[in-house]
Amino acid sequence: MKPLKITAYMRTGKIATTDLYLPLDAILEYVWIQQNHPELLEVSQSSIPPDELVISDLPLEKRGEGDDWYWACSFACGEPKREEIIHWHKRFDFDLGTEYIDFGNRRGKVDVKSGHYKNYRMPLVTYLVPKLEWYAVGKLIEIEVLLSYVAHIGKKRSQGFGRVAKWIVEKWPEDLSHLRAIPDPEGDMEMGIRPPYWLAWQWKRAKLSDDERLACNARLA
Amino acid sequence: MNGKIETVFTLLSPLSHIGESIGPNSYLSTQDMLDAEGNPISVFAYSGNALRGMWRDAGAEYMLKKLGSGATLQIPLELFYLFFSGGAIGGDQAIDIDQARRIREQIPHLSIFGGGVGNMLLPGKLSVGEALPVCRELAHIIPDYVSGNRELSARQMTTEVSYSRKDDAKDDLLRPYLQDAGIPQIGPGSQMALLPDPEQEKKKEKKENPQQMRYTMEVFCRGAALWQETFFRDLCEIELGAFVAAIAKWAENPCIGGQNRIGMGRVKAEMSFQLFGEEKEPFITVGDRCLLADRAREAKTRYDKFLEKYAGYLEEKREGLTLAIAGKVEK
Repeated sequence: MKPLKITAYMRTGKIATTDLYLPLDAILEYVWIQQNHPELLEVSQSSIPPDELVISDLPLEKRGEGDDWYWACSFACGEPKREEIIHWHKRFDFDLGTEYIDFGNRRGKVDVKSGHYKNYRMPLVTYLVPKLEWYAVGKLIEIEVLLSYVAHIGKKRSQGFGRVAKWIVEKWPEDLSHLRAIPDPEGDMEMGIRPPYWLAWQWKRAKLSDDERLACNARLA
Repeated sequence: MNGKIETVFTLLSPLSHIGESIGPNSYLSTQDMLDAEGNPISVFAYSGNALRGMWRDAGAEYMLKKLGSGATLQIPLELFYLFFSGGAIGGDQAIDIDQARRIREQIPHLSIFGGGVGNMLLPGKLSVGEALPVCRELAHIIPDYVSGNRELSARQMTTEVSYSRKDDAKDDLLRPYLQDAGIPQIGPGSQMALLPDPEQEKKKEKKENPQQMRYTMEVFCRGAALWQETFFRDLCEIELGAFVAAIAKWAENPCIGGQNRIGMGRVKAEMSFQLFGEEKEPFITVGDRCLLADRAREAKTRYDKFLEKYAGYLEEKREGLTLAIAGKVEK
């Protein structure tokens, strides 16, 4: 395993994310799950019990002791150019409803202001970033293969956000994989240290580097 | 199957896709993007969510027409909301992978577009990107083989159109048809003055609030080209057929954006298909007619056969779709 730099050149630069952490090990794990346990992606999960959690076998170096282990792979580095809150909409279509709904003996009334059929105008935080870089210690070719299946990163990929135009994986003289959340009892906050990062029961007290290369620490002009 | 479908839309009539409205005027939706030098610019884009919603509606319509064997199959409100709008989940999320699998097998339309079923969220298999105009600002993004004017700015491809909404109540020729037009008006201070009738007051108020107005819309010009990508993952042949069927249904009235009722947003579309690591091939052409290339036609035929079988089952069991959603239909 060698120190590597991985670069994602973005198509339009638009990424939907609130924190800009965008850990690459999570992106790689998603592809690994797709290839090795596709059944786990049949349905979205908001929690996973410890005995059902699948540990992936990523081509990255494992670091840390005991349950504090993590992958040698940084969070995203880059310079976001702009933050923009956009909105997406979900609405009940009355025209189609009149044709296709069978109300039976009930009164044909649908409340779209509240409840189950509520119409939505949802805000979405997006950033404009020309390219993102990650630093890792791992196997170059295997990482390249996994990334060849990644066309989008971040949230709302179903709407085309986070489109990656090109991935470049290259050897790098320096190991900068520490630009990430590292378990530390003296750390400032509880956070995910390995994928799935959203899984709250495996959060640890950790320290996140304040290095300005990290996209999450970058200051918008 | 993992890959992508590229679409080039050509606008045959002006496109309205409102981002902001100020009074009676509406303006096109824009998005921040990066220019060739990496600097932020604001450019018109037709949202991927809008395209996805439109194709989802078309796919659901196709499925219900087919399952109704010629007639329109009407379904309960909950199912309608799921097929056309993606549904919603209530309460804590539940996970039943077997049930999710069965739902995907029984309803390919739901499998590709996704939705909230009961307390489960089934992710879709499509990533429908925004349609980007072929223009100077995005010339570095749009592939070279896509034709269109790369010298012109997207700003120069917009125009404004104005319309009048007429208050027919004020038209003397139409007034005789108005119910209260002949009632004599009693002026203030008149000896015959009565307490105001609430009904009359309401009508008076309506009369005083003018219905007539001039409104203006910013639109994207006829003739412009938009380039778009849709990525798919883990599609089986029948699911690909469900996507083709959605496009074929949409192609019966190929419009995007708003104001279709006044002829806006009519397009022709050229779609190509590419599996990851393989060559690109022609897929669907939407114009005066919808032409399917071999792969698209075969996938749609398979989906049609699947639906025909299902229609037979529904003839016997009317609650079949509800059972399928509950994951209670065995293969």
